[in-house]
Amino acid sequence: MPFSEVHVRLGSHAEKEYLLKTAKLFSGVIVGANLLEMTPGASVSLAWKFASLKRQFAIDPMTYVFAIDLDYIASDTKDRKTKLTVRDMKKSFQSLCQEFGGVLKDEVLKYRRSLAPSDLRSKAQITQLCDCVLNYQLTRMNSFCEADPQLRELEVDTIPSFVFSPYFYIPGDNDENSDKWESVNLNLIRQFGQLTSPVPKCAVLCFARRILKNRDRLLRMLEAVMDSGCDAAWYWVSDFREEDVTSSELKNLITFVNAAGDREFELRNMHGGFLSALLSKRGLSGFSHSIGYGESKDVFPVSAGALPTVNYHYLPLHTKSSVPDIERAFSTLGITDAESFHEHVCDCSICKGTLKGNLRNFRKFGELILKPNNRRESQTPDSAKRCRFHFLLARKKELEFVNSSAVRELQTSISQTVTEYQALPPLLRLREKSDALAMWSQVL
Amino acid sequence: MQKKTSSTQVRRLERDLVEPVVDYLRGIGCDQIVPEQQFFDRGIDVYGIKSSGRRTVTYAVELKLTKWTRALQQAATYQLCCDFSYIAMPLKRVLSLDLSIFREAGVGVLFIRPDGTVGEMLEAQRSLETRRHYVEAMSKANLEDSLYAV
Repeated sequence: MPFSEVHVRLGSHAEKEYLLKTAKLFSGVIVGANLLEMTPGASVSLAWKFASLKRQFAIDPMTYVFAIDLDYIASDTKDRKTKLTVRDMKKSFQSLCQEFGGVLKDEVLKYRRSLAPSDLRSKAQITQLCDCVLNYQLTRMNSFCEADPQLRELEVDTIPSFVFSPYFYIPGDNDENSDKWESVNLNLIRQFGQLTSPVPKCAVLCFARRILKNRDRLLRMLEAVMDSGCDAAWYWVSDFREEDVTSSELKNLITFVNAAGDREFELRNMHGGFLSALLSKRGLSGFSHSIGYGESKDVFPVSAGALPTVNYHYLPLHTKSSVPDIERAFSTLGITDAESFHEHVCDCSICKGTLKGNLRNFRKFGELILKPNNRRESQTPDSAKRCRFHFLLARKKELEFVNSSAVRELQTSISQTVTEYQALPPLLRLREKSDALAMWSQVL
Repeated sequence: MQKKTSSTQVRRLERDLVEPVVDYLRGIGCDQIVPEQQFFDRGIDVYGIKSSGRRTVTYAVELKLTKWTRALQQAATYQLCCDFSYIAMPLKRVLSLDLSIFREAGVGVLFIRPDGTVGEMLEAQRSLETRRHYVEAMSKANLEDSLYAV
C-alpha cells in the first residue's frame, strides 16, 4: 500500500521543544542552512538527537533567497559606536554566500545584488555551485563539530540523511525570466544528479502557482528531473494553499504525481498538508511543513520574521479554522460537552488536557493578549503552544488514517464527512471549509 | 466604465456606516458602545451594551456594503458573544436580500438610509448560542474602555 511520510521543518530553535517531544511521530527534520549558520551548536545537537532516534535530518540550502529581493534577507543593526542603524544582509546569509562561493560570493555578497539567470549561464558556474552546495551539506556540520570541543564529544553523525540540489524560484510564464530560470534550474539539477554523494540526492523544483496550470510544462520539467540522476525530487509551488486548489490545478497535480509514480520516482512536496497526504495514493512519497504553519509558503515573504498565528487544526475537515467558527457550529453538530467533542472532533492528549472535561475550555485554543505597543490582540504563548502540539498530533493521526486505509475506505469516510458538513446551514463557516475536502477527494 | 472599489475604499465606506449605527444603538438604550470590538481574531464592527437592572443586554452589529453572505456568517459567529446580532447595510442593498435566511439564523437586519438614519428591516432573535463567559468578558473590557460611553 502507498505510504506517506512527513518531514517537519524547523523555523527557529524556539520550536525545538515541539520537535523533540514528537520526533518519533515523523520521519525527520529539515533545517534551513541559514539556521545552521546562525545557531550551529543547537542545530548540530538537534541532528544528533534525531540520529539517536533513528530519524532523518537534512539541510535545505535555501539558495533561492539569493535570486529574489535581498531586502527579504536583510535586517537592521545598530552600530554600537556610531549609534547609526544600518540595513544589511543578515550575517547567516552572508556566511552562506561565503560558503557557497562562486557567483554567490563574487556577486551577491560583494555587490549586494540578487542573482539573475545570466549569472548562471556557464557550465563552470553551474558546476561550481552544485559542488559547493553538495559539499556544504555533507561537511558543514562536521566543520562546526571540529571547531567546538563540546560538539566533538557528541560524536554526531554529521552527514545528513539526504541532500538537496541548489534551486531558484521559477516564475510564471508572465515573467520574462520564466524560461531562463527553468533552464538554470534544470541545468543545476542535471549537474547535481551527476555528482557522487554518500546519501540520496534530491532535486528541488520551486515554481510559481501559475505553472501548475501548464500540464505540459510540468511534465517536461519532471521528465528532466527524473532523467537527471537525482534519486528523488521535492517540489514547492509558491504561495499555493491546498484549500484554494482549483479543479484544473488538481488535475495537473495528479498527472504530475502520477508521472513520478509510474516511474517509481520518489517525489515529495516541500510545503503541503492533507491533500499531499491523499496524493500518496497517486504516488507522492511525502511532504513537509513547519510546526503548525508552512503547509504553504510564498517564496516572497509577506511579513518576514513575524511570529505566525497558529489556528486550531480541525481534524474532521483536515484544515485550520478559527476557534469561534468551530465553536459556533457545536450545537448544530451535536457537540454538547467535552465527551462529544472528543468523539466528533479530536481526542488527542492536548485536546483532552485543554478541555479537562469542560467544553467551555475549547476557547483556550484561541486565547489572545494585548501586547505593549500593539493595537490588536495577538495569540498568547500558551494558546500557540496548544495549537502547535495539537497540530502535530492531529497530523500524525491523519497520516495513520491515510496510510492504513485503502482508497475505497478513504473515499467513503471523506464522502461521509463532506455530506455532513455540506448539510450545515450556510451561516456556518465550517460548511464553506468542507469545500476543500470535497475537492481533495477527487484525488482518490 | 464603473471603477472597481478597492478594499481600502470598502473599509472606509464601511466606517462611514459606524456613526449611524452607533446613534441607532444609543437610541435603543445602549449605554456603552464600542466600535471594532475584538472577538478572538475578528473585529465586531459595533458592539453595544444596554444595562437594564442587574442584567445587561448586548448587541453586535456587522457592517457590510455588499457581501451579505460573509456578513451573515460573521453575525452568526458573534451570536456567541452577544444577545442580539445584526448586520447593517445600505438601504438599496438590503432591499434585495432574502430575509428568510437571516430569519432562520436569528440574525437581524438594519438598513442605513442615504440621510444616515437607520431602520430595522428584521428584528434579531435572542441568540441561543450565547456563551455568558464571552459576554461577561467583553462587558468587563468595555466598562474599562468604552469609547462611546453615555
